Amino acid sequence: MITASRSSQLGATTLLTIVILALAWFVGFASRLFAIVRFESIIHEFDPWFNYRATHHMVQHGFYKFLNWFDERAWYPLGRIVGGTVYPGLMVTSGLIHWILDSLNFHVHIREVCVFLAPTFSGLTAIATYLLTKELWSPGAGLFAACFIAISPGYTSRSVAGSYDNEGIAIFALQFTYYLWVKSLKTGSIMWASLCALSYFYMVSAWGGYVFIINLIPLHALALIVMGRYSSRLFVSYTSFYCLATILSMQVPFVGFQPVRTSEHMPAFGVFGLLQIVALMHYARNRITRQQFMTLFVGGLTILGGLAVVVYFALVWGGYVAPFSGRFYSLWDTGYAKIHIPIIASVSEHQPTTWVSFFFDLHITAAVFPVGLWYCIKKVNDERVFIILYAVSAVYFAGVMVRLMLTLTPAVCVLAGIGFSYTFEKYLKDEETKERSSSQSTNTKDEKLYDKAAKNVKSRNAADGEETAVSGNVRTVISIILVIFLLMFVVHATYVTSNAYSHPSVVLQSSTSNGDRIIMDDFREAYHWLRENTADDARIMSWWDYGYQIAGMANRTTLVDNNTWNNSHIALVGKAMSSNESAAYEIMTELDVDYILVIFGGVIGYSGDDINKFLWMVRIAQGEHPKDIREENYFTASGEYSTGAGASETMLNCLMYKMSYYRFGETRVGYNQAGGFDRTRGYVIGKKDITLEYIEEAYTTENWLVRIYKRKKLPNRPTVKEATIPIKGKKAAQGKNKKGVIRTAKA
Amino acid sequence: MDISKMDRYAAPVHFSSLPLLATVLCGVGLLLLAAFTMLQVTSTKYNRNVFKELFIAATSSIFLGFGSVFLLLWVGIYV
Repeated sequence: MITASRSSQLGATTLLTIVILALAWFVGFASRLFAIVRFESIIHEFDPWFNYRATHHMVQHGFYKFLNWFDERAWYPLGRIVGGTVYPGLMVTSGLIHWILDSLNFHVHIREVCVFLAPTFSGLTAIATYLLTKELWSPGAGLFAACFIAISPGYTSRSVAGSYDNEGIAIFALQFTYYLWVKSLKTGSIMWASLCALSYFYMVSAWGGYVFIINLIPLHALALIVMGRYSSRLFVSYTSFYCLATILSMQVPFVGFQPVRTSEHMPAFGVFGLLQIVALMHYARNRITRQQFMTLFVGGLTILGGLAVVVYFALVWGGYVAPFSGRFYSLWDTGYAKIHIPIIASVSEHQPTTWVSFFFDLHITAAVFPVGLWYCIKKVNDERVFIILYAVSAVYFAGVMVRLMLTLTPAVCVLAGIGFSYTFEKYLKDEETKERSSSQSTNTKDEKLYDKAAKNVKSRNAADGEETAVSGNVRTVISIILVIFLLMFVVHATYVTSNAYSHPSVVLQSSTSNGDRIIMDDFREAYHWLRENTADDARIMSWWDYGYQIAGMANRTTLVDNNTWNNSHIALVGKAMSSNESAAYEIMTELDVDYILVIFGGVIGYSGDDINKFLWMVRIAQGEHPKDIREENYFTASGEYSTGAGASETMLNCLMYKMSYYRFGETRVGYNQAGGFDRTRGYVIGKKDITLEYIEEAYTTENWLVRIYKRKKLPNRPTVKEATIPIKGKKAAQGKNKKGVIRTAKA
Repeated sequence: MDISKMDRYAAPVHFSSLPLLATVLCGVGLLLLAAFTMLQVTSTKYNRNVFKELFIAATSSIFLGFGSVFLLLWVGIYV
């Protein structure tokens, strides 16, 4: 009888779990489709365009041609080794899905696969989070966590349909790797540790944030050792995982030998060595006398520890092991990037997080997450130490950089799921505890062997009943309030996804006074003009933000793009944009530029244009050419950047100013505005009559958003104005020599 | 190849019955799928019957197959 009811309960539970996870997948997929419904199925923003172009190249030419691809149409004179500088996981995943569908005769264009990849993987992330939380706490908490992460705005922001970026698949790989690690730690089996290493390999191929995994797992192992929770399971799982994971991660060409040569991977190696020593200690402890043990290990350990530190610093000093790279060092020393690496500081995603972002992206889960964390600390065991470390480190990193809110979101969803599940378990189940204790007592009558255990269980149940002396009314009210919080979370998540995170950034939308929708498609208009009206090998100079879009949509060679791997090249472009026309013309001739593209938002009030980014161009240029470009030259008298009345002479003559405001002085943005009123900045521009000597205007889009200029090919001999030639010649003889005298100009 | 001389194409299933057909067929298919899942999860090595499993799986796949075709037609993908 009991087996029948238990099996039907198991059947019903499994069915319910499958249905809930399938619905979570469907909801996660559907809530990411706002941009597709409103606009069209298009790749968004900037970075995804490069990923799409790389995937397209791979689908057309095959995987090995992609791995060996040298792109000469990016970073113009230098080119880019794409095969060695890209994480191929994203392209391989889309290519694989495309190939499977093709072989089933279900032909889909690769663009559709790329656009819809991230929503599909959000459902898989929900399932991986369910598995992780089931290992950490219980299946009920797992279902809560899966539903949270399916719609949480912190994750949705980077995985809407059309956002074809590494994070879309990397968060799935992260959660799955963590689930396999926790499982391998719990079972201590080599099979699970090997599966964890394979999943880690997928994560390494997908995203540069794999460094987080390879530092968190050693930190977990170290914490367990320090807490005295060492066990053979930890030894087996960590050593198997570390060896396989390091070898596998070196198979990705971009990672190469970094796992043995950079400081970011050294903690994993250090913990590996430490674990061998600790295992040896535990093995020897029962087999030798205490005094031998103390001298051997305490002395030996200190000597080895000192030796390890000395060797590490010697390797760093000798250059064999690279110190922390700039990107990761700036996470610890937050003021470092602004002074030394302005490119990292200029990205808006790298700014510190405001508290508003925490609420906006996490809503109620940010408030309940400390509850889950507290219960994990209270009922600690080996795997809950892991989630505690993950949560604490993720909170620190999310506070340093807005972009890392993404790594905090899974931790918050898991712990909030634990918090909600524990609360509901305590507050909803009061009749069932009495039933369970009565069924336990019927068990004791059947099997006398388990008498002692049953008595312990009964006394614990009675003690539990006395502890949780919260009345039934309070429980009901609190349960209802929590359900209302969950409903509000769903409403907030959908609202945020719909309004804030579903903009393709390639088209701009605004509404008129009577509610009509105006679509401003200037970007695509300009890129299409470039594609149709310029030579196939024309070089386009623009600021690095737009490089990927130009390469993807206009299919032209660019000078600098979002990869930002060569700071000096970007500084050259910045110097060209900030110098006056003749100096800029020299740089452009050296770099063989044909067209220049600027974004200008003054007519429609678009605030992401190049004049607003100009201060970063100046700063980056100053970093490389401090004698030619000085930031103070561009300030007004009161020390701020302005293109209006008080603008400095250098500012009024620089190439960026001229290109943005050419012919703008004659336009009026509204009926009662003065000519040349810049809507974005809010004032009339400083100099209205602009003449261009070395460049000419090629194309300006409908709303003046994108302006393209062509570099004039000047004749080889420079024309020198006559008035500047100092000529001393013989005066023409009066009337005698009608033919005149040949004058020679003094050299 | 004059279009005006050709008969207008009449589908074997009437257009207005597509939603009902799609919902019913998919619904029955999903119910049978759920029954099959429960059967797999709760049966042991000793009390399983291959013919019962095959029957439920086959009928479920037939229903789901036809249901998905009608679903595609209803949505507008004229396969």
